[in-house]
Amino acid sequence: MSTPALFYGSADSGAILQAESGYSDDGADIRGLILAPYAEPASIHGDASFGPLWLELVWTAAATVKVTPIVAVPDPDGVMQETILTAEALEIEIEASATRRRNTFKFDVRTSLTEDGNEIARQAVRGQRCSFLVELTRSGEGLLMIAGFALGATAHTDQLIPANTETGA
Amino acid sequence: MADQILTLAMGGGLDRHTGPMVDQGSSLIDLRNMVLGRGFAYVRAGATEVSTFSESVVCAIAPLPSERVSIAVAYDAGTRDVNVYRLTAGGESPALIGKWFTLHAQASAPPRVFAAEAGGLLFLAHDEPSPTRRAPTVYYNPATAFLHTLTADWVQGDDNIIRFRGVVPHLTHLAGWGFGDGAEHGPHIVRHSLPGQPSVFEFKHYMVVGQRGDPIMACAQAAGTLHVFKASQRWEFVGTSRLDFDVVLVDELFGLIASRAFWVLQGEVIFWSHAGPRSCTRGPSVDIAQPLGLEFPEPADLPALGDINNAFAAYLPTTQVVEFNFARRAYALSLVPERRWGYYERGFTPFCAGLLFPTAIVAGDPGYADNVTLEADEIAAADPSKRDVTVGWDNVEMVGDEVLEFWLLKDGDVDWTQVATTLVGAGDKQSFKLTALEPGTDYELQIRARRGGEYRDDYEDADPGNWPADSYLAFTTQLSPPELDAVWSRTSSSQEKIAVTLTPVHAGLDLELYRDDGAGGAFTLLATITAAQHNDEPFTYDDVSDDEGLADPNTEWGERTYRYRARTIGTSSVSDDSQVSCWAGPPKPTDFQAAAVPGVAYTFDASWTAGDIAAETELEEDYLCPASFVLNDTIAAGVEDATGVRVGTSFILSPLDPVEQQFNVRIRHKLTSFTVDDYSEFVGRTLVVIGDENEDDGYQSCP
Repeated sequence: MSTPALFYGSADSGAILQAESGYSDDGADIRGLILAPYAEPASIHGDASFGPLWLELVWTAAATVKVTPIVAVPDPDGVMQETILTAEALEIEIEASATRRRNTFKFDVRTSLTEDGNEIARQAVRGQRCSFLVELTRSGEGLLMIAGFALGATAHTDQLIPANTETGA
Repeated sequence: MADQILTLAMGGGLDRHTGPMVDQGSSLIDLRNMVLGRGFAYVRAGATEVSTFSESVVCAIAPLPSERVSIAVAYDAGTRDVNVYRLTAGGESPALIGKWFTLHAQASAPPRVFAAEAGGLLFLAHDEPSPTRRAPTVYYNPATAFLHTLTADWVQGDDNIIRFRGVVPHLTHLAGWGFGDGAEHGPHIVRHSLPGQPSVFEFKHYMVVGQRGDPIMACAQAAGTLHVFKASQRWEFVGTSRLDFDVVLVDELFGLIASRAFWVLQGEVIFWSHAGPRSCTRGPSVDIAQPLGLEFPEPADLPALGDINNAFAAYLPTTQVVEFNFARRAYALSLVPERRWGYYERGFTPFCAGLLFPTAIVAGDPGYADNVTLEADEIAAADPSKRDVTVGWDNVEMVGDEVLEFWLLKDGDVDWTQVATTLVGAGDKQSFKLTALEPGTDYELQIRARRGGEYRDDYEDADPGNWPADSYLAFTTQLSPPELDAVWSRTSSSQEKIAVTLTPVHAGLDLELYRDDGAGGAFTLLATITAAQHNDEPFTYDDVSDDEGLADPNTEWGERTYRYRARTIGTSSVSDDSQVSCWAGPPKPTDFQAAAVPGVAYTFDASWTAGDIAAETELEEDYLCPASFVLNDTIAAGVEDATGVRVGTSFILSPLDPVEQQFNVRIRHKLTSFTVDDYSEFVGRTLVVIGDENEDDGYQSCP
């Protein structure tokens, strides 16, 4: 008996597709997505600045890697408000490689401080919790893996604690 | 500069209990289209099309390893036909075995199918809960290359046909479930075949599992037993043969949420229950839903999403992932290095899956095709402008797992093209239809057999022109002539025309139109209508009397039958002729009948259907011998009924001595336009015998 392989029967068209084959779903991009757990370095009543993000990739495939920060801060009622910082997303293109490559990419995530619609400064992502959405899309045959990532963080003493919470003054 | 670095190792999987990470998070909140393993998270592989079918859905794929082939079941949503195909071991080159059944109008569509190999036969069962809508259970016998219906003489009615809801091998038996005896439903019954005879089922060889009427969802052989799943229970068979078989309830709480939502892997059944994924070997099942992400539909929410009945499980051997597919969504359980859940979103909708063995190759050269002949050449079914050509050949030294390649070289082309493949048939002789070829074109054909990537030595050349002549055929595709229609009309007092409409059958080819002289003489070319002129649409050529140099259309051109012929001019050949005849005058009346009016001498009632309701009708009789017709009456136009039928017209024949005679009568139309009379052909010429009730003077023939 030889090595087995899985084949799908399609409900979209009369076709048989071999699984674990190619870098797309019969032409449709496959978007890998990882949402990391929230980092909360200053604990549940603290505030922190986040960044940069280091992403360690192993690849042979040409691909696009996109990182979108997500920050959460409590509102005055103490309810955690999550914000996906779509405008602060960072994207890189990596080229195909004949041999397996491994590299750590640094994503210096920051938010814009604007005045009258004009950016006047950039500052670190700040909040009680922070997470990152990592999206990976291959554009050719090959491997694309995440070996790990790390997030820089600085806990602050000037905590963002709503005044009307039980632990507030 | 950050004060601290928070790291996250890959491989944590989805965790429904993931909360704030202080400094050592280990699991992920969301994980889509990623596979976890050995410290990495990598984007899952895709799926690549290997074969296509004319049907809408492929609803079952199964290996037949003993024959090194595969079987697929395909469903046509238009006709509701369910057909069975034979493929290579790797799922390529589908060759139709035959139609299995036409899906009942109220049956679940597409149909779910269970396939199981036993004793070298591949059994197919229609997983339809309603027995009255369920198809017969069939099996494919590779020795005959046909589908056979599973029958037993104890089955009541319906030609003794067994209709299992599913089948699975169990020990030396084939087990089938969900069928009583034809008269009584048996959703709770498991039947076993005779040992080693999977197509023979005895009436008493069955077990009732659980409460009667509570249907069995599926059965799975694992860990030395047969697991019988109901919607909320699981039972196990004990014993090693029918003599000591018994069935016991082992799980009172958890059954199967959908009939195909399980996978057997190394003695373990991994399945999806109403409460989510579970696992069992023998005895009660255990929950394997932890950890499972909350970002997606909860297991308990899945039924509301409507994807449940067609859910199915599958196993990806390379990445060692068991996936539960709910239409385009799938929960994926990575088995290595430890069990972790992920979630897939696909770019297509899988309906079924099967583990095949695509590299199952036997040693030795493939066979070859010999004595290739042209068996048929017909208008293409899918495109009438093309040709379908059937070629036949002898299979020589074929083992049975060869793929036959068909290579064509069209006249004018430089390179050969592989246009089709099929699996070698079981018999010595085989045929194949090459579709959508250009009409009227020279082709060269070569057929080559391969096994995997192996060819016979003399077929290894990349140029099919260098392959042996055994498998070579040169042929010219036929052409169909255009369809012809012709209609006469008068356009002035001195001009008539016949509008000849040519409808091309093949696209992009010229047409030629011929006409005779109206007296049965030779045909002469009237016109060549180029492809650019007709543009593949019906083209009307006006054959006008003036243009033909006929000075007096009322005499030279007039009332006679002209014959037209047309043909298609191809690249390498011309078609046969199509032909139409046209009377150069108004259409003739039809259905002419004359009946004697009883008791009224020489009087008849006549009726006919007008060819042109605007035309008068002349009635002639030939009382003057021999056959010398004279006008009896002219009947005005405009009194036909809505369908053009003229009734109630009586006429009196002219009596002569002797009183007993034979008369011939005939009618024709006279159409007057532009002050010119045009006449149709005569019809009827009905022989009328007038009898004399008083005397019999004998028949008086014409002098």
